[in-house]
Amino acid sequence: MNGQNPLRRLIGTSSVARWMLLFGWSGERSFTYELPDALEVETRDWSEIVWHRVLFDDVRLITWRHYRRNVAMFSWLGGTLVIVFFFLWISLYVTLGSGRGSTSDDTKWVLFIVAAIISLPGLIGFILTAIPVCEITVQGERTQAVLRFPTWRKMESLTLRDRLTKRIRTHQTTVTAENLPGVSRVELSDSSNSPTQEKLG
Amino acid sequence: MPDLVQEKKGRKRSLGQHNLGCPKCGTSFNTSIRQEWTDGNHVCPYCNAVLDIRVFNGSQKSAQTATPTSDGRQAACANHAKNLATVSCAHCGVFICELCRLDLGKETLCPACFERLRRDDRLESVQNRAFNYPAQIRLAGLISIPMFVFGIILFGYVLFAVWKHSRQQKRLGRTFGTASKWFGLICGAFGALFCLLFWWSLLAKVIR
Repeated sequence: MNGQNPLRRLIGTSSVARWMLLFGWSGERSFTYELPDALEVETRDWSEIVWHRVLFDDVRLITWRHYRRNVAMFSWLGGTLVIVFFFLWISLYVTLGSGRGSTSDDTKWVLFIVAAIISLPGLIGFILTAIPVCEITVQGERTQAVLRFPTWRKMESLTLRDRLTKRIRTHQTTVTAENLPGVSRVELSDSSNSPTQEKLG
Repeated sequence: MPDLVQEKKGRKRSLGQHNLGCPKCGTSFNTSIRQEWTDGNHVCPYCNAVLDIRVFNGSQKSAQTATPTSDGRQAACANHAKNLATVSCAHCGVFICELCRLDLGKETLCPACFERLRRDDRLESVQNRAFNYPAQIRLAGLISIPMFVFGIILFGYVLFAVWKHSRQQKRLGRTFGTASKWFGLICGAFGALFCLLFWWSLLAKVIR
């Protein structure tokens, strides 16, 4: 695992929010790189970077699905922030208005803009999470890689899935033929029971 | 309902955490289910999620075999008395057979040494974790702007983390977090500049 392969190429990313004791919600991002014989996943959270590989030898399943993520967390977070700062703005407006003289129009706008800026991250998070995504998972016996694409990159995700399928099948066939010389390539491709392989040749 | 291994429902899984099964509900598919499936659309029997699946058989490799000792004069493996020793452990020097040898690029270890060194975090070739200095640099740099009163201290931490990060990169032989590092450095420099200006103006007022 030590050392970076110079041939690695970024093929996709993914992110997930996790609940952590003491620290609240924490983001975890993963970057998937393609190597000649494996996928390398680099997972980063606020304190640690972890690398693991999904070896092509080891792959058993690739799944693809199109879905909308659960937006409940961002709804609550964004909604709470908006409500809190709305009341803050109202209370400041009332307090300043009831003091010496009346609140000028500029002050009202400044307060409104400050409240809007503070509540903006929640809103952005909500919008970003509400966009449907295409998810590819490459699952090996020991490790897995997750790649997510926004809905407008659906075709790209399907092309990548097909390309990975083809590469993995070719790699597994080659490795098996090298290790078990008695088993011919024809037998292997017949036993794989795969329409994609037939299509791709 | 087919024979499924249901994971604890509702638990958020880490991205790297392994689960050979449904990516939505976390149900692991048993080998029997996977063998029935072919490429195409399938519905998860537990959560009804529609999955477009590609199934693989995996590579078939010939098993590693050890040679038995033919007479009493040949060295035997320390763990398997009937197997011929082919190599000695680079750490403890014990003779080991083909079944026991663990090749780690530069050196060959016996299983006991491998476990001990890995537990003590002394095996660099299998290290796959690192402290995320780039994230710390970015955070400290970003904080130093609103908290410019302590900008110099925070910039000091940024410089320390940059030094640690460069050492870490050399040790691991990897390059990572370059963008975060430069972002943190620039923000930290601005924080330090604001800090200097603030304290300078304050001192100037006090002296006058």
